Amino acid sequence: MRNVFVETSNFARFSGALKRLDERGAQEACMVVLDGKPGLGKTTTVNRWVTQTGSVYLRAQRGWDYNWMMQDLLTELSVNHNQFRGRRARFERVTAELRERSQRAMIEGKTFGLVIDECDQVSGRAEIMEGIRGITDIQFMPTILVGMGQLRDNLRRFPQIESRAPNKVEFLPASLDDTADLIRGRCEVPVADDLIHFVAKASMGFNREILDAITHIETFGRRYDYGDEGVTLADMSKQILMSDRKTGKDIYVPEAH
Amino acid sequence: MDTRKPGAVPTALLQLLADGVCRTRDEIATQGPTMKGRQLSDGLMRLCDRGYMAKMAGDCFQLTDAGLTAAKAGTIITSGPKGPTKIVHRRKDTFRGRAWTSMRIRHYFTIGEVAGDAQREEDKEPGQNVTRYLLQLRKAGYVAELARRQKGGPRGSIGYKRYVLVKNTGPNAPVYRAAKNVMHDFNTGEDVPCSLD
Repeated sequence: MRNVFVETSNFARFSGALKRLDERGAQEACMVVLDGKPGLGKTTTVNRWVTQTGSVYLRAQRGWDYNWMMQDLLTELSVNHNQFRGRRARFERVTAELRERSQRAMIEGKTFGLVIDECDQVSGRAEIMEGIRGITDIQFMPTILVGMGQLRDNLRRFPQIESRAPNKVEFLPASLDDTADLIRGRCEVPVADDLIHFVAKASMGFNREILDAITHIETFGRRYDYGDEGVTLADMSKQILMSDRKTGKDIYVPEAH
Repeated sequence: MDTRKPGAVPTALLQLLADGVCRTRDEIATQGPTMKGRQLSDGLMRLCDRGYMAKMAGDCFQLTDAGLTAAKAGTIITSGPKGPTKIVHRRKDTFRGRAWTSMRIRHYFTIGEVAGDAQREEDKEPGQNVTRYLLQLRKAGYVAELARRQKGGPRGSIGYKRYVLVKNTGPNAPVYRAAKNVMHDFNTGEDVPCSLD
């Protein structure tokens, strides 16, 4: 499988939300909420974005309180948190670091932001959410909150935070075009349209299952003499394609008639 | 003693007062190395600033517990900052830096996944670069190889090696120093020998 990042419609919506942040009228509306079911490529997308932009990535923990979060943030900013005692000293150091990096990115025409993954774990806790708001308000820095189902609902409890996050991106199951792009971009053997259609249907648009299917198609395709259009549905008849995420059973390619 | 050398005077005064006896300024001037009055005053100030010395009743100077410990340990006072500089660390944007970030987020990964996350158009042979970097990290104990491989690859391939990041010390990527065969970790400031097989 080729290790390239394929830009699907989900990525396009994510990029669009970040672009809208740059063009926003209200400076304080600097948050983006990114949610969707597991296996739709949220972490992969965020990983790529953080790696390429040098942004700060934090993974929320269930037991997080304000102090723990600030310690994690200082560590991610390469600052020894033991050097700064007290809430105020730590807050000042965090904002100074973020302001410096954010300004430098702006001068160089780059993007810099703060990503908080697994935000569902803390999205119901006012202390943490207000803490995040306080940090981002200093510089009006792009802040991406990543979660699954509860994040959007929990934010409604904090109107002062929700109003800062008008850009909400829901990662949706891959469309047929996305599936085709993903397969053509990453599969090292050519795949025919009928098999792409079947993968799109069987995977229900989940990237994780599509990647599973690509592995099986590649394994099959490398020892099979396929035609000009690539590996077809008939070629892979009765072969395992992927696993069903609900039942755990293998999904086979139907027999050709 | 070259009294113009930064830190030379306070270091000499620290050793002079190491016996713990309280001395007046005149006593220190006569017993200590030859220096100007201004240099003596600055040296004494420096020791007080660092908490090594306190001015006692009767205008005499005596080392504190911290000063006695420092004198016993042979501490050499140099010029430079006494605490955090408040200078914001500037991170270079390098391929290996991006690869390290990807490893920290993914935790479990293959060479291809990390190379895919980190590569840009200008990077030459990202896969080979990651392979070499992972070998160095593995020898220094930062990553470990998993027994089970990820399926895939060309015909007859046994799959791709998978790795796990076992020592996540911070956001700065460890750098290999070939001359010493160590990984220098900017997060901890340590040199970690690449001694594992």
